[in-house]
Formats: sequence, C-alpha cells, structure tokens
Amino acid sequence: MGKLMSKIFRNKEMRILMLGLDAAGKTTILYKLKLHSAVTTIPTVGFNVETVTYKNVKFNVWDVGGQEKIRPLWRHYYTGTHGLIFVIDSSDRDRIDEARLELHKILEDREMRGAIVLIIANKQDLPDAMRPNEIQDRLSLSHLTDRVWYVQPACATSGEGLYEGLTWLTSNSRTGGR
Amino acid sequence: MSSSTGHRSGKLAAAKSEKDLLQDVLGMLLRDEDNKYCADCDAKSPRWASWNIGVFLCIRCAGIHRKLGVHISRVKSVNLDSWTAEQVAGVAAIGNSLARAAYEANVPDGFRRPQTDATLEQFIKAKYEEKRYLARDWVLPKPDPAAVYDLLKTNTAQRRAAAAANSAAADGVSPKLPAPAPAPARRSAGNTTAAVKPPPQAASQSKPEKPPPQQPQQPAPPSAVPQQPPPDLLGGLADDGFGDFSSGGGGGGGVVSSHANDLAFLSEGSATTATAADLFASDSSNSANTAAAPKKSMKDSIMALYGQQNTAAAAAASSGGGGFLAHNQQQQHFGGMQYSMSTPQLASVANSTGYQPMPQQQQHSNNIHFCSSNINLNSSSSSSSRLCTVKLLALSTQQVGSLVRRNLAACRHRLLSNSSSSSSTMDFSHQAMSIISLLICYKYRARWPD
Repeated sequence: MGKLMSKIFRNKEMRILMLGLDAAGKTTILYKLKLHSAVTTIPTVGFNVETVTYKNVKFNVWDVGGQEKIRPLWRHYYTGTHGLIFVIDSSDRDRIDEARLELHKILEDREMRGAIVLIIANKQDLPDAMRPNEIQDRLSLSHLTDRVWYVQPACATSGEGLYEGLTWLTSNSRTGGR
Repeated sequence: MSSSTGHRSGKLAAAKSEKDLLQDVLGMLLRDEDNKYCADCDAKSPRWASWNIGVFLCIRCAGIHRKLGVHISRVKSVNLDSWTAEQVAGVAAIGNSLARAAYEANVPDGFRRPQTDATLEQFIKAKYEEKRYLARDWVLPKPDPAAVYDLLKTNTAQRRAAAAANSAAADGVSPKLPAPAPAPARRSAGNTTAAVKPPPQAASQSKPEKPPPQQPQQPAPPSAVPQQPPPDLLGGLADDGFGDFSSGGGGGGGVVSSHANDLAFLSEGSATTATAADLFASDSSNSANTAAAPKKSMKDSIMALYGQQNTAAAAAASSGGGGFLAHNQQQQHFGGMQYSMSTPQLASVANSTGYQPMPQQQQHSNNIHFCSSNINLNSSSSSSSRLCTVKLLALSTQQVGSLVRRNLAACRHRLLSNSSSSSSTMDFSHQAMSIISLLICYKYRARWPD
C-alpha cells in the first residue's frame, strides 16, 4: 500500500553530497535544513548525514568534513551521487583558489560524471562577501561545458537561499547531464 | 618561506621536509606549557588553532571561532590541515599566554571562565570580535616565518629534554599551572610589547573570595590531588569496562577534575556521562580505531575531543570517526553531528550494540530539552552530591569500592533497560554524577591524612 501511494505521488529521492573547504558552512547548512535553526557546530571530523524532505523530494544529504588532510576521503562518497552541493565561504578571498582546485578535482572523477553541481555562495551576510558573479569567475565555472551547474547566493544562519538551492536541484535532477 | 634553490627534485624534497619541519614546530609549541590548555575555555590538549590570533584552541572553541568569520579568526587543525610557515609563525609569535594577557587584560574582577556552550560563545565574541577586554597598548607581534626554523634549530636540544620531561609528566598528569607566565622568554619574534598587563587571573587568585557559585577557573588548593593519575587501587577493583571509565574521567576530563568545586564536579558528571556512553558503545567506537587512512591524526583529534565536557563532543568522537569509512547503512547513523546534537544518544548508543538507529525525528525533538534539563539538573542536585561527598569520606576503601561497583552496575542496568525517555537520562546522569563523586572521594580517601 505504501509503495502504491509513493508510486502515485512520485516521491523522488536524491542523494546529495555536500563538500567544500573547511569552515565553509556545510554542517550549518545541513542542520538549518534539518532543524530549521542555526546551530553552533564543531569542526566535522568524519561526516554527518540527514534526510530532508522538501516539496515531496527526499534529499539524502551527506556532509563530509573539509579539512585538508581528510579531503582525500571525499571520493569514497562519490558513488551514486545525484547532486553535488559545493559550499563556498564567500568572505574568504584568500582561499577561493584552493576551493576552485578542489571543485575541479571532484568533477574530474568518473563517479561524479552524472552529478549536477550546485554551488552555494555562503556567508553573503558578511561584509565584502564575493557576489555570485565573482564566484563564478574565480571558480572558472564557464569551463564546465558538460555540466549543469548553478551558483546560489545564501546565508546559512538565516536560511536565505537554501531552499532556492533545493528547488534548483529538484528541477534539474532529471535532465541528467543536460 | 622556502630558501631552497636547487633543481626540481631537490625542491620537492625540500618542500616535503619543510612540511614535516613545520609540523615539528607545531608539536613543539603544543608541548610548551603555555599552550597545553585551550586559550578560551581551559580544556586540556588543544588540537586546533587560530593562526591570525595566535592561539591554540579545543575543538569546541574552534567551532565558535569559525563562526566569527575569517575576518576575525582563521582556524586550522594542527593535525588535519597542513600549515604554511607564515601561519606557524603566527602562533609561534603569540601563543596562549601572551594572547590571554592581551585579549583578557580588562576582564572584570571575579571573572570566571565560562563553561557552557552559550556563555562560552558570548565570551569569545566579546573577547575577539568586540575586543572588549583587549589591552589598550596591545600591538600584534609581527610573525616572522624565517624565525620559525630558527626556533626549531635552537630548541632541538632543549626540546628533547623537555619532551623527555613531558612524557614523564604526561604519565603522571602534571599539575596544572594556575596562570601561565604572561610573556615567556621563548618568544622568537622579539618585537612583542612587553607592556601588556599580566593576566588578571593571577591577581584575582591572591585575594580570597567567597565560595564561587559558578564553575571556578582557578584550581582550588586540593586540586593537586585529583590531578593524580587514576590510582592503581581503582584498577584493582575495576570490573569489566571500569578501567575505561576511570581513565576517561581521570585523563579526558582532567581539566574539570582540577576544579575542586562541586559545580565543576557536576560538569565532570556530564563528562563521564559521555565517557560512559562511549564505554557502552565500545563496539562502535572500536570501528574508529580500525578506520584506515588518516587513522593516527584523526584519532589524535578525536582524543582531543575527550578533553571537553559536553556529551556532544564525545558522541561525535565515538561516532564521527568511526563513520568515516563505514559505508553500510547502519553505520551512517553514527555520523557525527546527528548524535552529537541529539543528546539522548546515551540510550540510543547503548542500544546500538545491534546498531539500531532511533527514529531521527524523535531524537531531534529530544535533544534541545535535554541540553537545558541537564544543566538544571546539575545545578539543582549540587548540594546533594556535596553531602554525599562528605559522607563518603568516612567510608573505608573497601566500602567505597563496592559502592562504586554497585553504582556502576545500577547505572548500566538503567541505561540498557530504559528507552530514551527524559527521566532515564536524568537518572542516568545523576548516577554518573554520584559515581564520579565516589571516584573522587575515593581518590581523596586514598591520600587523606588519617
């Protein structure tokens, strides 16, 4: 009966992998979506996973720690990922190049071929935060010709922009590599 | 930063050894007496740092610092990040004592270091963002990357001796320094302003104050006693798992046990709640030990987590690390924050011998209540635990031993039999508290002049 119901209502499920440099705000985003509150986090050593249901789509969101020495472990989470959320600290201009390198490294992996890419330009509330256009340039996103990608400005603590990001994911998930 | 001008392979080799060198310098700085406790909350063995402020931090304070934004604090892990010479120079030039002397120069009289998450966050914001307590004449010492290597060279011999002394001291958990010297002679970048006032704690320590109602930051006189390693006698009467328990309380919760006051006692209670949770979850935390790749470094920082008093951190330690390489569906539920935020993990982790994840919704609804109720509980039952302490001093060692054992059994029984209802967690933490008081009494008893 439950199966029939879900068939009728077409409950979609998406596996989302959330990556980014350390202190970008991945865990804060995850728990803002899950608990609707801005929690004080500690640096993630390992990963967090939560299911978030939004507009009849069940998102399985994996948030993996971003410290430099644990980044090599990211690839263990690639398999079966429908969408990549790459979180950027928009106020951290010093490390945007590092973020660009990491992003392109992820997207080169075979396992991630089918994933759509949502870049969350987080911390837009901070003074002198980079705007989406600038982030698009500095991440060399225009080089990604074979990808569906989108830059979503956001502020994880207030929640602005997060659900817009999820909406983008749902509406682009079935296009499958354009 | 690198002065190597050789051909490519030579450069590569130099780069590699440079990283190792920097890691060595960091290790050396961490062994320094200045940097053995978190700059903000006094937790033991910090493994994180803010390199622009120049302090070493525990993981909890590191989280709060990251929240301030990179324009105020730039946080890095000692073990999980790689450092540049410039960044290492940042912490080498300042360090915890000097930073405290500067950033806490104007703290109000009778200031006590906050211990709860909320007050700690307020304090850190006031300290670094608003710079409310900053010394007026504070000039940020200029980090000198070149000096970092000199520091290493000149200190190698010294370090060896110190390391030997430290390892000896580490076995015996050296007594905590009340307030580290404000400006140690070690500073490599000599251009520090010597005009900064000494930390106000030193001053406030000398005048006798009325018994503090909140957690004291000063170790009271008897603090030297509980700083001893878990006594051998305890090891003797340890039943299964008890050894873990006592070492967790004595080693991990060392910071707390250095406070001789009841409330600190209570926060230790919650520390052991965590340790006990870990004890029961030994199955899942064992998988942390078997995790493959960054095993060593991860474990180090996981151990650093145990220095904290919140159950959250310990849960993250027992689950987050283990979860890293575990891909099976059950294990995913042990992934870090989910549990570290929902405190009824005591029960759920206890149940988890069969890896039985609780419904997530339920956990989250429970978690917030627990945090607050835990605090209330601690403060309300402080007097009773004190009474209990006093009473037990009169008991013989044998009696204490059997009491501890009985309490532990009761405690475990509760844990296993009850579900995650709030009453059970309350009971549990009460039990844990009484066990801790027993343990400490026992320690006192062992060296009480009869």
